[in-house]
Amino acid sequence: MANIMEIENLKTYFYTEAGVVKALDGISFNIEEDVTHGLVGESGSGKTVTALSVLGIVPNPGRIVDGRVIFEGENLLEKSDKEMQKLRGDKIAISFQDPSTSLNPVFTVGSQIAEVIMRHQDVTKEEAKQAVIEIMEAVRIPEAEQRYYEYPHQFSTGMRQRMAIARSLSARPDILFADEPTTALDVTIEAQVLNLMQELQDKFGMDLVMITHDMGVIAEMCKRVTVLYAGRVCETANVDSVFHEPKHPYTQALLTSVPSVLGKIKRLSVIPGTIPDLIHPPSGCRFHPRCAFAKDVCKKEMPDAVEVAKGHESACVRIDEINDELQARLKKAREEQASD
Amino acid sequence: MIEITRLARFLIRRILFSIPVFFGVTIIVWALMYAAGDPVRLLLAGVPYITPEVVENLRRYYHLDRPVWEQYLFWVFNLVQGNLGESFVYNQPVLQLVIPWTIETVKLQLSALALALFLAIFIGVYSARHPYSITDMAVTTLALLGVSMPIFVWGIFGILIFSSYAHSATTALFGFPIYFPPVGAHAWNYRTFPFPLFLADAIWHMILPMCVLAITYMALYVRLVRSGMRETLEQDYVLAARASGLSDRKVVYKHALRNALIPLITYVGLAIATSFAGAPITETVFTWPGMGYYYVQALYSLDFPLIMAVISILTILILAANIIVDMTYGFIDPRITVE
Repeated sequence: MANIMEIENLKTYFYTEAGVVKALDGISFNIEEDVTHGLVGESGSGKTVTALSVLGIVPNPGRIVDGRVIFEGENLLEKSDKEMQKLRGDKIAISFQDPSTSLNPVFTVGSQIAEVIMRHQDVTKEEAKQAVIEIMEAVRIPEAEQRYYEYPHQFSTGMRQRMAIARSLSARPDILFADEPTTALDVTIEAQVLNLMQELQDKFGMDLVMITHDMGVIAEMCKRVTVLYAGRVCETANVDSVFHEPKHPYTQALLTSVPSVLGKIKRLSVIPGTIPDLIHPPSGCRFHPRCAFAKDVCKKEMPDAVEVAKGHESACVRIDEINDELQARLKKAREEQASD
Repeated sequence: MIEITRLARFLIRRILFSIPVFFGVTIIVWALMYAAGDPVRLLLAGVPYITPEVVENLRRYYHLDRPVWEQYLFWVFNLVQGNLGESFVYNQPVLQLVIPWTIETVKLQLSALALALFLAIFIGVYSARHPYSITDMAVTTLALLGVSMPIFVWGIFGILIFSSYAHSATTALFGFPIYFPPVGAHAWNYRTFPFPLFLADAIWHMILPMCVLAITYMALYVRLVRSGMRETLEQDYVLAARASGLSDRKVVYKHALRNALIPLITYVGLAIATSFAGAPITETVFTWPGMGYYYVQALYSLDFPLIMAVISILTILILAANIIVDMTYGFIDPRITVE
């Protein structure tokens, strides 16, 4: 399968007064064509920064210090801001987590979307408006024609999220990073938005990268998934193998902490400790202080993700030794949840 | 259509509400004016051979022999008919005197305000985009100086450097002076000038007081724009605008600035009031023939009709400015509806 985007050794640091925050410290993964990719991890693991780095819009005081992002045979990180402006929104788009803050409150939603279309396509104002109304209908905004002239505060949260998605889709991008598209929404609307995204993906034929911390969304939407932890990749694999046979202790711990709808409510298992301070990250494997399987070797070298099974990359150096134990633990946790 | 009728309703209501404010202000000033002293005695001070009959006649002539409330009602009655009375000192209808002064004051204050806003936006945006850079530090320090130093100090420095020193230095260097006039709004014989020369002369006279005023106004605006932009530039919608490929200029000057302007407008609304009221200082420093300058003169001579005329015009200007500012909110931020 061909890759639409290859991210290699991407490093994005934030130069704050307290010190250098290594938000991304050399992450690599490929996004395959026509395969919905999931980026999953806790808050602060670097999911959003990855998307912003790809688009070249890392906010101050952040800077991309190393790495390559290959898209259409070119390294995006070598492009000038002017060249990137043409790609942003047009070829690579992002929809943001919180729709109530990602739409500008002082302009009509319609004009904000029309602006993006007019930036990337050679159309008149009237044509852009028609295109906006079309896309508003595609995201199922009722009475799109009148709603074109309304401001963000006149929309409900669910509608606002759909409008934010509509804006990212307006110039028909090849690849869309959807940053936590359902986090700000309640559960009923969440399902609507997810369905809609799948529908739009088929309709416009774009590749989707779902950024989320919600394993449920990953299971529902994605075919391939990359698990991030503290600015490093833990593993990249197909969704099925990640859920059934994770090859990294962090993924296993993450899966164990997801409640099951089958069992009774009981104490959830949690991962001990907190995510590390990214100014002074732990030596070696970032996860070792919280890892049940950590040995001395884990403190020494910072492992890169390597292929450990077919199509399955893992960054755990001890995976061969601990694999059986890992699977046993996951199985036990799942059985316990199901039996109670 | 709905928008227009709503706007009209808003305007009518605000104007109706302004009427009692106007009369409240004039009543207070009227009372204070009478507490300040007797204009007839001031008028006749030092004039020899004044008999009590003359004083009595003069009082009767200006209706000063009537009770204070009756005089006020008489003033209001005349005001409604567009008659503001006759100046005690100039012996001319007050309205004829005040209109050219009002034009001079409004001209100076509004151009200074516009210049200050224009510069403050560019400087403030630059500072916000390069926080803690050398330029930003310099600008912020200067802004602090601008806020802290009173306008008459700026005015006197301005006159000293750009009128006095500039005049003598350029005369010595080139044989002819290059300077800005420190006094007045026009050349003495401006009535004989053809229009282009009249305009050039008016602008030349205005530059120094306008720049001095602009510096003191700008100081605060720069700080407001800077802090506003620092905040809005971090907002998600600015990142989203950038993410959709918009040019840098559009992201900054359209998406971020529009939101940063809201606190600025509040301040400009307040500043218009203080700028008109504070005009006496600037106009005295530059001998500018505006309301502020003559207002102070009228106070010295207790020229009641003139004081009331200036107060009335100032009150109307400030009330109108407030209504306009409230309307501007509605245009800049759709979340604020004019009600």
